[in-house]
Amino acid sequence: MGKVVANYLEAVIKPTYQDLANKADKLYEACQNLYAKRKAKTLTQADIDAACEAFKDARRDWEQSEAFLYGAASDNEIDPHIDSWPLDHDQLVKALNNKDVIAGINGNNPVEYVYNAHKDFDSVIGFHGLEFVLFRNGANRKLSDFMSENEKENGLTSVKTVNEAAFAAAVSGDLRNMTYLLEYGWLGSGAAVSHQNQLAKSMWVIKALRNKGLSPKGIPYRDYVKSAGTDKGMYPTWHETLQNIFVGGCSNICEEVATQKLGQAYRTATGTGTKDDAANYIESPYSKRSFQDYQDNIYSIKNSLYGVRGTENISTPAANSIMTYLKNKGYTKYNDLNNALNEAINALEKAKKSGVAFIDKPGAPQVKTCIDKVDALNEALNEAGKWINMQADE
Amino acid sequence: MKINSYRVPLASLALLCLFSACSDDDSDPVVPEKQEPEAKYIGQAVGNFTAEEWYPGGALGTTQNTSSNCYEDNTPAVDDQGLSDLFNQGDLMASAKYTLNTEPYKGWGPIASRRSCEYCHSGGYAHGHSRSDMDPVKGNGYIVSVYYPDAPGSNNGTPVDQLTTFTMLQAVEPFLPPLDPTKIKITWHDVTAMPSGLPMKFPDGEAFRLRYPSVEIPQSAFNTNPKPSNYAVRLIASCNFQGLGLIDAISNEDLEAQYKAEGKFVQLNPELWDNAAKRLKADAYASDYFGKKFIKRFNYDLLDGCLENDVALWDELNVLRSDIKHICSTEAWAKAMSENSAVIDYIQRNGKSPFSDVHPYYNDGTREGIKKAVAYLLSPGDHVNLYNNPYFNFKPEMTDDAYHAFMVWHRGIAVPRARNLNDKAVQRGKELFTGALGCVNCHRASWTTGADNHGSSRILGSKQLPKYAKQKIYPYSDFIQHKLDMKNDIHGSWCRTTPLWGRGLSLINSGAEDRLHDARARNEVEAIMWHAYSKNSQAYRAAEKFYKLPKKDRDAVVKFIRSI
Repeated sequence: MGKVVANYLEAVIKPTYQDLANKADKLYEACQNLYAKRKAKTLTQADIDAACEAFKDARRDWEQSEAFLYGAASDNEIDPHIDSWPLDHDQLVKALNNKDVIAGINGNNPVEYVYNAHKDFDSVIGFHGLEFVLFRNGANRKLSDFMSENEKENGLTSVKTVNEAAFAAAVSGDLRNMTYLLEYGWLGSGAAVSHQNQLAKSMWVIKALRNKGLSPKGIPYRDYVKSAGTDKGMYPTWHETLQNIFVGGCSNICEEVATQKLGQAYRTATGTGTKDDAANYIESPYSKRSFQDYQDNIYSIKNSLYGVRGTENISTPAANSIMTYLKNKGYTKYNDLNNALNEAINALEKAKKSGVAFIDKPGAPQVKTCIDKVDALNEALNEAGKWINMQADE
Repeated sequence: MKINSYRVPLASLALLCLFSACSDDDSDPVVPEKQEPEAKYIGQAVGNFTAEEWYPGGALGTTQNTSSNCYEDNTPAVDDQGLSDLFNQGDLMASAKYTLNTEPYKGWGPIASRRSCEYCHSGGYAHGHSRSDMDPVKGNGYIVSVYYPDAPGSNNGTPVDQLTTFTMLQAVEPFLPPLDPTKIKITWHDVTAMPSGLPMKFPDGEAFRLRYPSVEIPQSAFNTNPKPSNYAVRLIASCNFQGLGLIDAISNEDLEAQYKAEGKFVQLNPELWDNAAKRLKADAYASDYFGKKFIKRFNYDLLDGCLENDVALWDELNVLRSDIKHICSTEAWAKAMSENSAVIDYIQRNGKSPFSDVHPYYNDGTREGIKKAVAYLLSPGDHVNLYNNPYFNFKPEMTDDAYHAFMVWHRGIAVPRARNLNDKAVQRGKELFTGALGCVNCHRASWTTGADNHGSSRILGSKQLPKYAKQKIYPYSDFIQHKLDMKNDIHGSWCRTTPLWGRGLSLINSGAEDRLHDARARNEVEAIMWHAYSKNSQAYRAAEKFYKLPKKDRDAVVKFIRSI
């Protein structure tokens, strides 16, 4: 069991956070370029497109980390810091019309400013603040919109687009720091040296944290998880550690996708919930990539169970994976779990390819199919978690 | 097995790695001693535990989940009674960051304590963590009690009029929060000796540490008129939410019987209990909207007796609801804002447009007119009707149906299943905790809920909430206040015995596991030894017995507390 957990940590969690941090680098650079050229009035559509692509790349790795939000992302409140929605439009307008905020995001250290002063614009930072600046109506922002003096969106016309670009540049730096913090939290000094150096220069993100970004035992989360049964361990046993991967990790995001990310708006649209279900609670509405996000969440689960990244193109679990362990130990519902996993992914693939974005038709039958398949996967994950909790450590 | 190398790759990393041992290796995991899974014992009597004790919230109130997300689970009653969708909706209402005016979770301000319930009750509605600041960020569950001490250093005294119960630390521009959090200073002090005389080492030589907070707030931090003076400050941390519906379902008769049983032997809070006549006073009860009375049982300071009186989104975020017609504030703050020239300037400059968020305060656009509107609309007085007044008629920001969903969630959060009851050490811990030590004199092990004819409110009416009739539950609390006589104790000195159920899972759910009313105890041993800080503590004898135990038994008691 220890080797299975070790493989999960090394082959899934570690490269996911490493890739996320590297892609957040690219996003930061693209947003710096966008702002510099917007300010100089030399911005091109290619610059905007490059930032949008960098956003999508980083976003994919983040969504593919959500089956292990426990640990560094939750304990250090990184998840709500970088991935809250919906965007508070009024807050954005206030912030980008506030001379102190404009000075801060154009000051000596805009990234530090965002972190320390974001209480008045905390609902518009992170991925979704960037999404709003970079995308509209499911497409990359148009150059003509970005080059006009003011925003064209209803209710936002007082906002200057150059300030939006400055805001994106600063927020992308804060996002980059948070992804470095995730990498450092899980890997400690195993994180990229350049990222550690950047964190050492950005102590504001670390100084307020209870355990300085590391686990409650003062060691990286990787060591915390793999020290089961010792006084440094997250759990006293391996079977509880594995159960947590199933339930606290995979099921946690699976249930959220079914009941909240998809469910809230679906129930409203179809009248199957109360009239106060959150119709507007739809993630990634500006890029219209909601189904992509949710599918990446399920890939996050598949990666965790298959013990390898890139399961979009891999159909065989790794030798020391959780799936292989289940198979070798004769888990009778192995096929049910595997099928549920693939059916959930396929349902979301179909929805993605339908050409109808979630936000445009949240009550569509394809949404119900996705909910049912993700629900079924959640049930299978909990079954497997229950079974694994009955196994003796070995 | 390779030993982890905690080397530091670059000198510049010293800043980071000062904090910890940092691993950069991919070593194989440590191989722990083989442990038998508890699974085959779950739901069965084992050692000195009954089968029921695996389910501290009873069949209707316990989740089987013990993983890092278990604190957010709904009870089986929620599913059984067809309330799952409402629970999920309520869960989002409690965890989403509220916006100013963007749907669906909108309407915080003009002042607020936090931006969502989960800001204080972070980590899946866990207990508040210990911190050294009052920044109203996610993960900070502190509020302050500011009062006029009845003697120097006293924990007792009348609260100041300038603040609300849940300290408002944020404001929407141009308003200022009643209390500026950046000016509040929290300092942690190590205890070098306990007044009880017990050494800070157990007889076997193992040392323990205790620390307590002091809080300083300069008068300049108050944005009120008048500002208070000669006040003292105490901290209080947010409580966890697991099992609140079950506590709500305990009958008045059973709680009263507990008061009577304890009142024979110890002095109880004289505000609630007549120690001479041995009976409850009128203040021991809280009434629901329809006048039905409930013995107070919630929060360290026994704020309420009826969960359905909950007004959290209003009294912490100021999200307007149909049954309350004014905001949650104080007259001293409303007066200060109405007299603040920067506030009036801003409203005069920005408020004319009906689309401006300060338009409600614009009135006729004159300084006097704005002052009048601000004074009225920000007042907490019963004379205020935000929905029908000469200045601006607001609309509720939360519908009645949404509030119903919120209450289904609030009453529907489960208690996690007990763990490791087959472990001999846990069994020994129980033997000591419930036997020789006498901890259960206050941390009463079990209750059986009543018929669960719970309270209601004007909004809720007869709408369905999850119910928990006749459940045998194991909260390990008497729901009565006692005195521990700690340094810088809770304001008022009387603190409700905290339920212990599920608290052993706090670290994996929330990343912290601090205990006691202000989160001063960093672990169970510290929490227990605070009970022995003073010989005036009502729990001194029990804690003294713990102090005298051999280490193996102390560890067993801790393991028991972490398992229930």
